[in-house]
Amino acid sequence: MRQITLRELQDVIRECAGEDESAQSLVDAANEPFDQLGYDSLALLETQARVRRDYGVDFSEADLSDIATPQEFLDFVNNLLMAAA
Amino acid sequence: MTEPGPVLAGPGLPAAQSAALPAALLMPGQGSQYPGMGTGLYRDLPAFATIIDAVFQVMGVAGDELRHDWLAADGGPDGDTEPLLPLNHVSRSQSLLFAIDYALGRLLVDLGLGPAVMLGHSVGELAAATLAGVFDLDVAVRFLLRRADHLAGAPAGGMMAVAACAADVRPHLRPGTDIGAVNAPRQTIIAGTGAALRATAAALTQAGFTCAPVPSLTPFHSAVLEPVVEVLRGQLTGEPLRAPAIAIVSGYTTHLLTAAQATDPMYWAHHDVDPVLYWPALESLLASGSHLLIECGPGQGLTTLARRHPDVRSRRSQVLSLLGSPGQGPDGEADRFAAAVTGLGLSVPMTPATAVPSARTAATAAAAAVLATGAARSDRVAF
Repeated sequence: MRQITLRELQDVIRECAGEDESAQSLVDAANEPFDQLGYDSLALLETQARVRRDYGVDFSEADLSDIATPQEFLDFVNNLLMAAA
Repeated sequence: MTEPGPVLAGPGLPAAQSAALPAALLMPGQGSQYPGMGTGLYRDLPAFATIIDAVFQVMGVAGDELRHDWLAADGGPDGDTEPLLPLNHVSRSQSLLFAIDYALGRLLVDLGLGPAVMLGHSVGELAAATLAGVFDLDVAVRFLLRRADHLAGAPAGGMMAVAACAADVRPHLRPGTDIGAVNAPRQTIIAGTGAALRATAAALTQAGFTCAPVPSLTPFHSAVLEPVVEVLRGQLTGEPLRAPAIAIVSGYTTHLLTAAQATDPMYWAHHDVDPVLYWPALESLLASGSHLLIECGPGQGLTTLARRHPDVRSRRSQVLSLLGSPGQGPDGEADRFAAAVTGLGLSVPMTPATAVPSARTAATAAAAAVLATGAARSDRVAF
């Protein structure tokens, strides 16, 4: 069953925010709030759109607004993936 | 009501900040407003209340109404929680952002901070210029109020954030829309009249771009507002304008604001039709050296974006929010502000609630009395 990893999320979110490899590694900051990592609501909406498309999971904007950290994002998406499997 | 904190340092104020990095004040504009912003600080920190009340006072009756609506979001003067106009109306958001940005900046300077440079987003640049002495406070306020009157009569419209660079957005712009701001490498703001903005957003969404509305009822920084330029130029002509006493990176040229620009009414009058180049201006600021970037206004939108800059990612530059995020609400603002300025090596004179009537109680009672009686001004707000 496919799951999204922290490294994959990092690649998606960097691309959505228009950053290169100098961007902070999410691997070391999985529990930091997104805004402290420089990612605002628009970057997260774009990330959601990419993950929806690339991983085939559907979740709402309201779900997204409850997700504060990369780890919470991963847990939420991976739960959906597991439920769909 | 939150209990005001204790006096955080001994009497007297330190002459200078202890932080090693030069301070850059980032002053936010439209889109950063949220209900209750700054009201906790107003309630709990008399030094802030005094400054912002002076701004409201200069605004006259409009200032009384503005304060009424501002505080309505935080329980309201005398429990009156109904604003006269919505927060996102031009006469509310712009004036309040100006007042809060300016008052926070003024307070930091009064506490002993010497900002090396400032960068304001949209109306934030007007606040920065006022702090830098380009405008006298009354001149800036008259300009702002007159402008709000004219913009309120401009075609209805709004703004939309797009997760794309400006070059990718441009081919999708419909007539009646423009690039309003370049906020980050993949964050472009478009502005325009209602139908044109919706059509552009639909085209962008169709092309696979993510869009999100920016809270604004006015299409700031678009050609739609061209008719106000000449009016605003005339408004400033003959007013005393000065070279900035504190360096300002222009959000429109992305370079240091020159004396010639600062004293040219057309420079200021043109802001409403020119795009805000926040990200290029931030790059220009950080290219001049590493800084401590301080969000001198509500929320932390500008510093959140700044965190993506390589100079901040590498920790050569740092960021600091004074009021916290909108979600944290007004109640902890004074504590967050105190923590932030303590980190700057400054101290906040918190007056115990028992010694001085609450700023909120006194000021809002005065404001309510004025509104109730229809009196012209509330000049005497005692603390």
